[in-house]
Amino acid sequence: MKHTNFLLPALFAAIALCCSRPAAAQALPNAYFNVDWQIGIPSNGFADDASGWGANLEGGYFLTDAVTIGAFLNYQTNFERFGRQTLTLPSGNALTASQKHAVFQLPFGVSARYNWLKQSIFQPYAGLKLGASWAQFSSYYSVYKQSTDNWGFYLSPEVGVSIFPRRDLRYGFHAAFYYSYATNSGDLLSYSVDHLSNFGFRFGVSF
Amino acid sequence: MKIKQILCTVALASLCCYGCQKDPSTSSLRNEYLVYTAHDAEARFAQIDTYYIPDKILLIGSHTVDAEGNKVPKYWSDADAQELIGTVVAEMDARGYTRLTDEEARETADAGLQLSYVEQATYFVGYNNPYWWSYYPYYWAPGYWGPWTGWYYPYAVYYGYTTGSLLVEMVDLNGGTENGRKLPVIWNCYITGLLRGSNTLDIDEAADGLRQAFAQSPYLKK
Repeated sequence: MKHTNFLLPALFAAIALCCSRPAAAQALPNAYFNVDWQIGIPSNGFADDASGWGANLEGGYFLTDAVTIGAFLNYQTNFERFGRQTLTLPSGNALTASQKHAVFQLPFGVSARYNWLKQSIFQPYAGLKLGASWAQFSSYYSVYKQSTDNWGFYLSPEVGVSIFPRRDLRYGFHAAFYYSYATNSGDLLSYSVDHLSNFGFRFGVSF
Repeated sequence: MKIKQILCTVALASLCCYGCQKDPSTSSLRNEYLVYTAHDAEARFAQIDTYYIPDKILLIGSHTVDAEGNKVPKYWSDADAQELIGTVVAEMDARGYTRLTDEEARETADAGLQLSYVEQATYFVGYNNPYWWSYYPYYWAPGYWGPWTGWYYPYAVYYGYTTGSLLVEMVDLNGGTENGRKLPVIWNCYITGLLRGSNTLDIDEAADGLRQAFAQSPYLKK
């Protein structure tokens, strides 16, 4: 079922490309759009396994040849399995079970980039995303699920490159490396998370 | 026109995102047992000297009907049941408690232990409705332990009790029945994930679960 990791980003890309005119030099003058598959590697102590269950959508406007501002929305789910262990719960009761933990992150907000080499095939950039992040922490054990969710502040620096094989046509590919930090915190069972940090990669299309 | 196309794209993408949360596969978790124990933090377990435990396990979800059409509770008392009861007895004895076996002792012991196995039914026990078995015909009635008017949990109970679950409850028989006092359940244990193959209870796993229940309840000792 791993191939379904690619399904949603591919769907986004298909929708986006269908909604634009194939012969146009770019979808919107002085604008860019990215639709990416996202691989996230978290470090939060709750669900730290790397996962490709993520996607990123971003669009922006070229204020100058080098500077863009825009908006983004992405999501990511990460899991981690915990073998049988005994937890002393805040109530003083105890639970022994094997678990699977999941963290779902849904940040969105504004983004800014500084771009280089806009006329070349490879156009690198450095960017920063700021916004809000909704996160849900879940524990699955036996036939049960417990979860908690909350909002936090989101900050994510990023470096990447847009690749346009044809210089006269702004349809191409996108690759990026990012780090993110969010202030989401939560307590679940005997676990406590005080922030979410991730690094990861994005691969997709750019137009 | 292009702006409309872009907005359309963003709207569709957002709708796609709405349902994009991935749930993990939990099939492997269903085959591993879970042990949950809860207790009354005010209970004085060290002051318990004697206990009584019936030599049978109540089967929840199964009953027979007598000649007059009344529902009659069904109990499980074969060798497998005795192994599970024996496991509880061994754990209690190891913690310094003394088992009383005379039938009359169930009203005079300091504590009573009742075992139940959810054979067929699925019930939910929530914080606001922890008394589901008062609606279940012939669940371990408070009257089994003496002239109690009812019983209660001094703590919150959260868990859904599903088919294949084993329940152990300890009731405090020391408080006296005067003034309509209810019988308190001072410790309970819920074990699930014990079914194997064609819904057969794994006795060895159940016994392991019972031992784990006592291991994670260190306050149960003289």
